[in-house]
Amino acid sequence: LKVSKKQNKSKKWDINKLLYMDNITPADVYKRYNGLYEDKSIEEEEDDDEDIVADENPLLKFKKSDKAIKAIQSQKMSIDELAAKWSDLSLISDRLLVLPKLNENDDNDGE
Amino acid sequence: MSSNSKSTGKQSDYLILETEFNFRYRIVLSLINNKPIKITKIRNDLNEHLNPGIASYEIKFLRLIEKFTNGTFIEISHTGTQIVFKPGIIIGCKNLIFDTFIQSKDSTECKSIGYYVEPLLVLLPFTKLRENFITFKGITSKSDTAVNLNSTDESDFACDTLRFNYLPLMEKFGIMDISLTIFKRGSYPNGGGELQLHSKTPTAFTPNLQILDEIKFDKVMGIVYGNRISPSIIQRIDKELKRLLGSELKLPLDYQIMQDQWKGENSGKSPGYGVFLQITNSKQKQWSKFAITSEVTIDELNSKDQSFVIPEDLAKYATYKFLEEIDHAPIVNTSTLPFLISLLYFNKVGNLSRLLISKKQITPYFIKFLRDINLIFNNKILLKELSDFESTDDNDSNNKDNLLLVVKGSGVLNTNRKVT
Repeated sequence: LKVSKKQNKSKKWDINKLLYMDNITPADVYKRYNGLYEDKSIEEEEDDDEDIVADENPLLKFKKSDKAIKAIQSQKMSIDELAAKWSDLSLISDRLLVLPKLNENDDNDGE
Repeated sequence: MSSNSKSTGKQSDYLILETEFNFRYRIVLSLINNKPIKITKIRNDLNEHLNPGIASYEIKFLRLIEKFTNGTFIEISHTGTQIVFKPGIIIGCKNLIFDTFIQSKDSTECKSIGYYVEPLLVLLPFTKLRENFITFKGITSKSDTAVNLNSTDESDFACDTLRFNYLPLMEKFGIMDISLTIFKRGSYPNGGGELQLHSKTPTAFTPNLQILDEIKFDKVMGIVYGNRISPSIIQRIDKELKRLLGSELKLPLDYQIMQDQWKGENSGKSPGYGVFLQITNSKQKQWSKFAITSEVTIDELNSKDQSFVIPEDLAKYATYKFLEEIDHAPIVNTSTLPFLISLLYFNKVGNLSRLLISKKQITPYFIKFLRDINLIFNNKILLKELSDFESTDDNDSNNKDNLLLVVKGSGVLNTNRKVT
């Protein structure tokens, strides 16, 4: 599956096409959709001589893709990183249904 | 090796699926759709797996399916890397006692009861018997599920997650008479836990959902549980949780943390403790069945990650993991999505269910699940960017992170009951 460099970076993949394609592993779907995919063969597209070298061993490519699943799976944040991220609730504040206090609600008494 | 599933169709009557991923859901969906499957290349890479072939917990699961159905044909190849599954009739069980416990030094070989109960919940609306009553014995919660933030098929949920996350979802779709009762808590490695699943097969079951906005939550509930451990550990976790939620994070919602100490005969054969956290919406009735939950369990004597053995650290990790889950999930947990989608598939033919999911919830395992369900039911689930729709909300920033999952009903009916 070859795509232009621009398309890869713009992250505007049609997820439905990616999801059900036969020749792409779920790990690659994940990476492409999230803009994490770095296909070396794309970078080497401009140099025709090196392009052949990159496609020399397709088996290696598959092995890398399978390992990518494990890499994604093992993406864990340490407790310190989590503590830094969650020093306050600003990231999820819009998900919390906080009822306004009675004093602040005086203006909306009409209904 | 491609991990994609392939269908040969004409060559054989079986749908051929590759690798061990989604093992339980493949079996369950094959049963419901009455489609024979052949799973090949099960842990066949000798470089990656010391024990190639089907795992003992998967065999245990197949035994449970054998007891739950009638006429099911299962054939495991000599090397264990290939199985043939021909579905029978889903009968159900009236008084089954099923021991899930596997004596093994390898913690990955031994799954908790949740691993067996979760796929069975999908089968319950399709049983021939009006009432099912199964007692599971084994491990009620296990630590290796805790550290895994991503959803995988290998996840074996702790019993509290099943009780507070899965059962309310089933109630939402009309499966009202269903309960999961913990009689004994048992931890890894020796187990000794006991769980009873009781359900009545519903007469009408039409799962349909239209959720286009993120759910807002207003109540946090937590359970700090422990068996065969000093009560002071539970008290320390409880104290730290309340400190974190209250004085440190200043959570502007009602929160209630309960202590659940198990002693004596009901506390299983091994010590263990853990934290379960849940956030719900108690004010708006239409959202009341949806919850985002998180559970962290420690098998005290066998924890690989020693940093979580300190009760305060466990409380911190549980809280942060819980907040991560709320951040990632607009409606339900990432790990609950396959279960929910499986139920939505049983909607009437052509009826569409629409559900908001986060882009972060699209994991490789979720993609594998979508591919499998498409192969078994020949019905694609579509994901749509919210930017394709006219924005009616002010929350455009949220729309960038979310997708709309569109599930077309397959119209599967409980034909097993109609026969009698």
